[in-house]
Amino acid sequence: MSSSNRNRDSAPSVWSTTGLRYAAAFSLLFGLGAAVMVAGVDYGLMRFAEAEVRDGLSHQMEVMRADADRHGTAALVQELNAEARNRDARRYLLLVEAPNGSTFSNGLTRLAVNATGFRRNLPNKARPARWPDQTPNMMTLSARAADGGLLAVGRDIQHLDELRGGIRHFALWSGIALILLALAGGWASGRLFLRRLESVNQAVGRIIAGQDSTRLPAVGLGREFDQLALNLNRMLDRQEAALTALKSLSEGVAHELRAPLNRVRNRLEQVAARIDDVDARDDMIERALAETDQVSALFEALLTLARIESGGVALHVAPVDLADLATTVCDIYRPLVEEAGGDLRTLFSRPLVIQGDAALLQQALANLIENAIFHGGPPIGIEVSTRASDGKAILRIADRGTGVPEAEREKVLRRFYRIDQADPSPGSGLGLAMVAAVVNAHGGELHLGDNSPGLAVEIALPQSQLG
Amino acid sequence: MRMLIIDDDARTRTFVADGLRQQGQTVDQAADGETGLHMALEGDYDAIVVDRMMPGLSGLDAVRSMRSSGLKTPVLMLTALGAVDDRVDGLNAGADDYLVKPFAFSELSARIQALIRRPPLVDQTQRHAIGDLVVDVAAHRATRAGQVLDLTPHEFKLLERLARNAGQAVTRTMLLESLWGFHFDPRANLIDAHISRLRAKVDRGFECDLIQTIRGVGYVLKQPE
Repeated sequence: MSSSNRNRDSAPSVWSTTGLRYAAAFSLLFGLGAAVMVAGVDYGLMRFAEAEVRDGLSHQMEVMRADADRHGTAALVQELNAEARNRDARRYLLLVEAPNGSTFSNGLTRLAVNATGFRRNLPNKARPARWPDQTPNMMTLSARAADGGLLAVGRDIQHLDELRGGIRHFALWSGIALILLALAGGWASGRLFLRRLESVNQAVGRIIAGQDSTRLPAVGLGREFDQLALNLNRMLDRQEAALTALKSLSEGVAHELRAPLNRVRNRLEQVAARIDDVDARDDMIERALAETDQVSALFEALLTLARIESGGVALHVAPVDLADLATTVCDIYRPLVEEAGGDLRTLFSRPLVIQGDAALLQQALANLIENAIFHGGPPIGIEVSTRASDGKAILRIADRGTGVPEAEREKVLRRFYRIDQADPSPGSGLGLAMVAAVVNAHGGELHLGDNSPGLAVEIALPQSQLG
Repeated sequence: MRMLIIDDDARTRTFVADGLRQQGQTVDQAADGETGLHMALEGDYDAIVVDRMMPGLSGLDAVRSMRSSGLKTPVLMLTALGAVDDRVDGLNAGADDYLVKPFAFSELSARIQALIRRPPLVDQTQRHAIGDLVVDVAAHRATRAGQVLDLTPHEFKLLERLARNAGQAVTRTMLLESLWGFHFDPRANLIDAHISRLRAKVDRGFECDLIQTIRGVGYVLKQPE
């Protein structure tokens, strides 16, 4: 219960999802970018528009000045006054003051112009209150005519400011709308994520709670997510297999330890009971010691096996002549076999060089010969042979015993597995597991077959190219 | 003989020291690598037993320091690590032999004896004589009472190993390791089978048995009293 509660507590809210965070971050970035862009457009546009207005003013001024210079300013005033009566509003506002005091103005006042040159008049609302409220938002250009008269031309630029304001409004509101859209999208995708991941999280919760066989559902958001779920499931499969193996191993170890420990205990109890009988006591103690040696040997074998299987042992790989190695091991075991009334025959094709760890291969072969000695009779008849076949070096150990039924051939490679639980023959139950691990570490193949009668074990190792 | 035991585990140290004292040896003890190294360099010992894993200066480092200081005293290293790589590490550091815990005291004792007796590498004895048995290593030939013994190479190696330690017990494990490089415990009594063959050739038909069994320990090659 507590774990599922914790699970729910820690379930993320939509506000903290990655989707929403990305959306927020991106809308902020987008907003900044848009603001910079709008500022740029605004600046460029205003420069362009102002340049246009200035050009227009300059052109108008040239026309007026040409007139004034030719006929005098007073004549221009007269002409303009006559014209103004016929035509009303002009595009340009004009102010002309002749030296004789006559003036023309269609709305432009002295206040809105400089003595000479351009002047930009601020819109009314932006102008300090002490300035007379007479100059509209305009740009003016003034100059002196040859006779000293004042020529001034102005143009209303209110529309430019309006355009500018419009752009700014548009940019502001569309920016806000885009940010809101992005946030909404982030929120929606975050929710979608959460909902899809919720089922995955629930599955994980069940696995944590101990339902080891539960697997993750497909996320369904895209191929990469489904691939992730698939890979995680594969990892879980491996973990479960490893865990199962570990469980059965620890059970096996506990079982294998209990028996010799019990025997040690029994012996020591016997010693305690018969403390006066010196000979019997010594015998019991010696047997108890032998039992503890067996436990040590079991541990040694288990550790070695675990280290080979986990790759913890770096193989001391060197060229090894398999035939030489087999000859030596067979010579070592032959006296034992012959003493038991059996025979050990060998047939080696040599040289048969492979790349391998001689010590481990020697131990593997020794294990197989010992198996043949304990299970290969009576009478014990063992054949050890080597041959090259199809680029592989084959080592074959065959006996004439009861063999291993086909259904058991996989199982006998497991630790502590015994076909007959009542089998009294000595051994840790690790011999074949060790052989399998050694062969595996060498990238070889192990095959258990029928020698009818008896068991034939074949080890195929990749043959050395150098050999 | 003076022995030095360096082990941080007081029980192992006392067990080994008591056993060696019972054999009439003088035994000094050190509970850590630094003290042990200091004692080893100061004292004049015939053999040193050092545990591999100790807090502070480890057994490996202690032995390395002894060797780099020019100390040639035989060293037996004790360890809970039994993989081949661990043995190689120990021997590379300068130890002369390597014994995995848990061990039988008889095994330890036999190995120490073998180390003390081991002649300097340069003048390996080439000829051993035990009673009327002569083992000529150079000629790869053994004779008993002048009669040449017909031994297989494996049998000769075994006899030579026993002869090299004549008068001293040689354990089965020592034989497995030194003769064939077996660092595992075979299920079968391999050594016993080989000894029985060797006996048939060395002792059968002669007046006394030179190859003797020491119960619970191993074998010894010696002239019976």
